[in-house]
Amino acid sequence: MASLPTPPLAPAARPRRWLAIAMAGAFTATLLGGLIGAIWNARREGGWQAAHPMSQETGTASGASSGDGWRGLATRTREAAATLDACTAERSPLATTVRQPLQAWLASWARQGSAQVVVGRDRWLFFRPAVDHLVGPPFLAPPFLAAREGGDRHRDPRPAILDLAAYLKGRGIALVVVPVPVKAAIEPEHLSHGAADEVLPLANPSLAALQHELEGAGVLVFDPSPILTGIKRRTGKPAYLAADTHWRPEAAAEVAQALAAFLRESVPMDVAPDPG
Amino acid sequence: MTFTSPTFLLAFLPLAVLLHWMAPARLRNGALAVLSLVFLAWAGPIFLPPLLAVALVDWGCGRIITAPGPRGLVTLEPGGPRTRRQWLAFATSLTVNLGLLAGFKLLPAVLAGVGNLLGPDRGLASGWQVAVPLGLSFYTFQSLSHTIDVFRGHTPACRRFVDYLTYLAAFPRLLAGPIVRFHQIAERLSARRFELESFARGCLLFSLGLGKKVLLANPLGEAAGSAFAAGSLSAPDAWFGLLAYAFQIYLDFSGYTDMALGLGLMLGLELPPNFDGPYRSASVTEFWRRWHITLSFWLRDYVFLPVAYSSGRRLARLGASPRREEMMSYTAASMTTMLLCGLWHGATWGFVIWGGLHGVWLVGERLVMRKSWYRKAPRPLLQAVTFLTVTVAWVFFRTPTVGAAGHYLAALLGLGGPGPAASLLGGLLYTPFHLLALAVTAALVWLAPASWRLASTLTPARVGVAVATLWLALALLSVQSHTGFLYAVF
Repeated sequence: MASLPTPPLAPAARPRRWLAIAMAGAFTATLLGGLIGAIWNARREGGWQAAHPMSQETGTASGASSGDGWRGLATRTREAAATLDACTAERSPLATTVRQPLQAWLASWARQGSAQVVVGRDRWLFFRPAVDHLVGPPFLAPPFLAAREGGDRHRDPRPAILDLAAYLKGRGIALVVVPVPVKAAIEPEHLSHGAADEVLPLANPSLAALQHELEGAGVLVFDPSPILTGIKRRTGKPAYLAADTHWRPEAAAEVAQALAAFLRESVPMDVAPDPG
Repeated sequence: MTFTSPTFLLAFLPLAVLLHWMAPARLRNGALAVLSLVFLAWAGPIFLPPLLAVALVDWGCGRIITAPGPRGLVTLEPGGPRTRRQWLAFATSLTVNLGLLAGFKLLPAVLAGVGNLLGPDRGLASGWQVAVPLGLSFYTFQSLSHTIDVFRGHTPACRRFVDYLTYLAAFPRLLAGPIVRFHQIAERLSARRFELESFARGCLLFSLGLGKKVLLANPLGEAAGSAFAAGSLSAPDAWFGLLAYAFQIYLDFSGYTDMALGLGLMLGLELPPNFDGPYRSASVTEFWRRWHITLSFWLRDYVFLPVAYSSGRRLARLGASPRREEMMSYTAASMTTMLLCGLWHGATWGFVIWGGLHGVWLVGERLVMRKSWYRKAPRPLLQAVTFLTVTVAWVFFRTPTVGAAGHYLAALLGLGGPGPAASLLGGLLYTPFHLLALAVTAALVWLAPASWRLASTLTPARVGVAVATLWLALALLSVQSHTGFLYAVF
C-alpha cells in the first residue's frame, strides 16, 4: 500500500470545442427535458398528487401520525421525496415512451422480470417471493427465524397456528391447514432447465417439519401437492396457468373434490359448532 | 436521494448545477454547501447534526492548532514543538470524530454482543438501534485528515467555515467518497470557474458511471443476491453467484465514484480517482493500490506508516537485525491496518475476517516476493491467483454471519449438499440478461481502460458511447426498481 501516486485527472489533451458542446448539450438536454416533460405530464393529469395516486394514500395515512417537531419534519421530508421520486420516474417522457416496449423486450428476450416477477422459460411468469421461499433456507431454521425476528414477514408461523387451533378446538371447531404449494414447486421445468427431471413436488426443507409438527399437535393438514403433481403426470398438462399464480380450472376442481372428501372423512360435520 | 434516483437525475442535479454556477463567485462555496445540506436532509434531517458538529468542531480545532500570523493562517513547522493548547485542540478533534464513529458503528455491535451473553431479556442492548448517519465514515475520515495534516504541519488550516463545510459535505462525494485531503482541493475551493471542457468531461464520466451501476451492477447484484440467499446450492451456482458479486461490488462502487468525479468536474472540483483496474492486479499488495485508492492512501498515511515507524523504532531499541525489524514492523503495520480497514466497513466478524485475510496475504506476499520462482511467474498467472484470492475473500464481506460464510465456502467446494429445490436456482441465475451483463463486465474489467482515463480526452466515439449509455441507463431505470449503492451504507 505504499508507493503508487494518486493518478491525475487532468485532461490529456485539449478537447475539440464542438465535442464538448455536443456532450454537455446532450447531457443537459436529456435531464432537463426529462424534468420539463415530467412536470408537463403531471400538470396535464392534475398535479403531482393526482399523477401519483399512491402518494395521496401515503400522505393521508402518515399525515395523521407524523405530528410536529423533528419527527414530523422527517416524515414529511420522506413523503415529499417519495412522491417526487415516483412522479419523476413515472412521468418523464423517456419513461412514458420506452417503458412498455422495453419491458416487453426485457421479459421476452432477456428473461428479466421485476422485483415481484421472475420470467421463466417459454414466457412463464413466477411470483419472486414464492420462488425465493422455495430456494431459500429452511424457514424454521433458528438463524433464519432470528434474522427475521424484528420484521413483520417470515415470523415463526407455528405459535399463531397452534394458538388458533386451540381456540377453535375450545369451540368445537377443527382447524384444517392447507399449505398451498407455490407455482415453482409444481412447475419447476418452466423456470429452470435443470429442474425438469426433479422429483415433484419441490418444497422448502422446513415444510415437511411444519406439517409433521402440526399433525403431532392434533391439527389437520391437507396437502394438495400430490394431487397437483398427479394431474400433471396423468394429463401431461400443467396444473398452473402460465402467466399468473392460479391453478387451471380442472386442477382447482380436482383439488376441491379431494378436499371435500378429506373433510368428510376427517371432520365430524353432524354437530353444529358453538357460535360463541 | 441517491445518484440514480429520478429526483436526483431529473431535478436536483440540473437545478443544483445551474444554481451553483449562477451564484456570484464569492458565494459559490456557500451555494454548494447549502445544496449539499439539502441533499443530505432529503434522506432525513436527522443526518444533519452529526455532520455540522464534525464540521464545526474540526474547523475550530484547525484554527486553534494553526496560530494566525500576520498573513493569516500559516502552516506549522513539521516536527516542531506544539503548545498545550494545540495538543488539546488536536485531542478534541480526534475524540469527537473517533467517538462518533465508535458510537454509531461499534457500540451497537458491542451492546448486541453483551445482550446475547445476557440472554433473551437484553434490556439496553436490544433498545440501542440507531441509524448510522449517511456518509459518516467518509466525512469523519476526511475531517480527521485535515486535523492531523494541520497538526503535523503539512497544510494550513481552512480559513472560512463555509469552505470547510463545502470540503466536508460537497454532495458529489458526501455519501461514499472519494476521501479527499484538504491540500488536494484547497486551491480549487477558493477559485472555481466554469470551464466547458471540464463540464463536458464531467458529463461523460457521470454517464459512464450511471451505465456501470444501472446496466451492469444492478443485474449482477440480482444474480448475486439470489445465490447468497439460497438455502443450498451447487458448486457451479455458488461460483457464478460469487463472480457476479465480485463484479457487482466493483462496478457499483466504481460507478458511484465515476459519477462523483463527474459531478465534481461539472462543479469545478477535481476529485481524485478511487479505482484503477483493481482486478488486473498481480498481487494483493497491488490490488490495494488500485482498489478504493483514497481509503488505501488514508490508511497508509495515518495508520500503516505510524505503526510501522513506531514498531520499527521499538524493535531497533531491542537490538533486532534490520531484516527482522523490517519484516516485523511490516507485519504489525499491515495486520493493524487491514483489521481496522475491515472494522471501518462494519463491526461484524465477517468484516474483521475479511480484513485479517487481506493482512495475512499482504504479509505473505512480502515473504515470497523475494523468491526467484515468484519473480519468474508469468503476470497472467499471478493476476488469476490474485483475482481468485480477492474474490474468495468477498464471501466474508457479503454474507451476514461467519456461519453463512462457512456455508457458502462449503458450497464453493461442492460440499453444500444441494437439496432438490437448489436446481431451481439456475432459472434465477443464468438468464440471458445476467449472462450478457457478466460478459460485458468481464470485458470492461480486463480489457477496457478506467473510466476516468477515458474521460481525460473527449473523442467522437467516447461522446457517442457516453450519450448512448446515458439514454440506455435512464430507459432501464424507468423499468427497474430503485436500488441504492453498496458503499453508501458504510
